Amino acid sequence: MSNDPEAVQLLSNTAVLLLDVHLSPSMMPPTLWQFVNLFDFLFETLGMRLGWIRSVDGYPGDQSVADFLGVAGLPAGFCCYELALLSGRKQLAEVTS
Amino acid sequence: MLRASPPPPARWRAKEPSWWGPTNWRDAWRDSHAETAEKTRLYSGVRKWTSVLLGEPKTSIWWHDGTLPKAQARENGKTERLACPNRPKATQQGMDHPRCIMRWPAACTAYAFGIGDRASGGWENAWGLPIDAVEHGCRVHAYDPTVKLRSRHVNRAQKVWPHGNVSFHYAGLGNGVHVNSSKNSYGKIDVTTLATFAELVRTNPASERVPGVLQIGELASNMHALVPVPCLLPPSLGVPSQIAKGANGAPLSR
Repeated sequence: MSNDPEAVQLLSNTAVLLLDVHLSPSMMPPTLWQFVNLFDFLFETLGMRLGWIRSVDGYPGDQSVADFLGVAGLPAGFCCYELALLSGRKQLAEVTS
Repeated sequence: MLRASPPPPARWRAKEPSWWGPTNWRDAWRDSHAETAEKTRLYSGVRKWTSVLLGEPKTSIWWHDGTLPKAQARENGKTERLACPNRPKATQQGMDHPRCIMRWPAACTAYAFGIGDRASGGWENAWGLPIDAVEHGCRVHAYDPTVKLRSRHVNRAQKVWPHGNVSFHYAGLGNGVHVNSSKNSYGKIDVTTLATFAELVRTNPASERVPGVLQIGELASNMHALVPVPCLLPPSLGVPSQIAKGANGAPLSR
């Protein structure tokens, strides 16, 4: 989506975006590149802001986090985070043109 | 838009020592600097966004109203942060997610990718967004490419919403370039149904193409659709092996 101008335009009209982010090694976690660029895209490019975050325990086998996240300080004990992002305040003209 | 990744310095490592000259040294030096700069950006980005997930005080700027919600203690000793005044107290974890939406868009169309099948909470748990969205007057398009869930989802949508408020589509999010995986948490997916977000939206009536509310579940398997990995990125920067190969298993060409 982030490299498709049409998708970016659609997302810019989205009022509420609900995401279920899996961060456990047993649940196909994002790569370092994906994790950073996902958040950069949502918060900085689209200008979205958090409505809420909820941690999800998951099954016991899914409660560790990917190495690069653990090193950055994210604790084990949760498999996932549910995020709600609310519509951005940034004008998207420059990214959709 | 995503920034372009630098060329991989690995291409220089394959050269014989006798091949090197002043220009090549300069170019390799430049590429190595670019790669290091990109890694620095990524690792500082991880710290930045992890601090948001942790609810550190300095991250209040990333919240909708500029205020960091108080951490709420849960029964098992863990905490969570919710700016969710409407949250019902009696529901199971996971079921009340869409119910935190304080203001539903007018003339709402909701898109839900990755319906799945939750082990707990019954079918209402997996279909949480469609249920709440219909209650708030939204037209809903729900997607799931999981093979074994297809008939169950089709029947569910027809039985629960006979008036057509919810359309189930046997399809999933793709990035239009390569397939990330042929499985998700629920089993095998039909990769022939994968299409980009814009392509899937385009198949719906014109009046239903603005996703006022969008849910992307199973983000693990949908991540490649949100932030496609450039094929030029070297494995050292974290490209999963299954992405670094094409759909037929062949390495992607540069």
